[in-house]
Amino acid sequence: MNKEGQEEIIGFAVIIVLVSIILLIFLGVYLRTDSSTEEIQNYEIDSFIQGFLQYTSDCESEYEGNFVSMQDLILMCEELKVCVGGESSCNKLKNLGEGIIQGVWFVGETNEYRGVDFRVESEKKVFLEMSLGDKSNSYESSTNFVKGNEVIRVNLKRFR
Amino acid sequence: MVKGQIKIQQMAFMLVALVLFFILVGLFVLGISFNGLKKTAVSLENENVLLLLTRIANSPEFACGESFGNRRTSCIDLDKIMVLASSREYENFWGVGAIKIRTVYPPEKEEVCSFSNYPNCNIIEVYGTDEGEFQSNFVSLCRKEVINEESFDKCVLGKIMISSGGVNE
Repeated sequence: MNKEGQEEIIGFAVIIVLVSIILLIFLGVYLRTDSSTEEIQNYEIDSFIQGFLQYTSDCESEYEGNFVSMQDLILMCEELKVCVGGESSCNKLKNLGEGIIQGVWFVGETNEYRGVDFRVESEKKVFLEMSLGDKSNSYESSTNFVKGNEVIRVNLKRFR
Repeated sequence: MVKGQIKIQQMAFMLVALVLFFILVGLFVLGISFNGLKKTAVSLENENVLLLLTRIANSPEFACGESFGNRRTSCIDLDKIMVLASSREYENFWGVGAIKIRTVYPPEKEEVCSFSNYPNCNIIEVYGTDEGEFQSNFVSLCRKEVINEESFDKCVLGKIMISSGGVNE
């Protein structure tokens, strides 16, 4: 009788241990999905990229007063063209692009977002890359494409 | 007979304990799942607001159309908006508390636009004076600029903002 009771208690303990292990696995999987660098397509970032590409730069192409958009500036940079006045379009793209990202995305410990990563690149060339803040948490992202001689990706990741 | 009854009693206690245990586990799992659902609901709500903002930005009263070359999406014609802001005829048309448009980049002096200071200002109060919580999304703000008597298109980065009071209407 005493021995049977002990066996039952052991059986009960085994069941509890098994269920606890299952629960721990479930919890582990759930927490990992929540905190990993998960990519979520973001509508707001997509709108930002569209606005960025339409932004009128201070680079004039071919003649004075013909200010080009950022999208056209990327295409000029791809063909290594220069702006009126002699400045390289790639230089202009880098300076202006960095200015826009710094002026729009305020990141840091006290802000809603911890970091930002912005890239304009094709298979062969990186036109602009910029990183701000901490990039270790999950992020939201969006990518637009500019069609030049090859497809150019414009991607922004915003880290929580 | 007494031994058999004790056995049955033991089994009954065991079954009750197991059922209670699994109920607790189930509640725990459900709690976690519902937490995820809540997050999804909030994210869907935010997405709906962004879609509403884009719909307003792309409506004929706001959109650039083909005034600045090719048809653009999420592009607002600022010259058109200045005229729209001065009209009271659209007050109940949008179904939102208030609509504002703000320049984000390049940074400008904080000043509400009027016909006397436009375009050297950064906020256009299109409609309503609601000072409540605003939701916003990025747009391109375009206008015709003149330098040395030459006209050209100038687009800056901005935000369209609507007051939260109108979102659920």
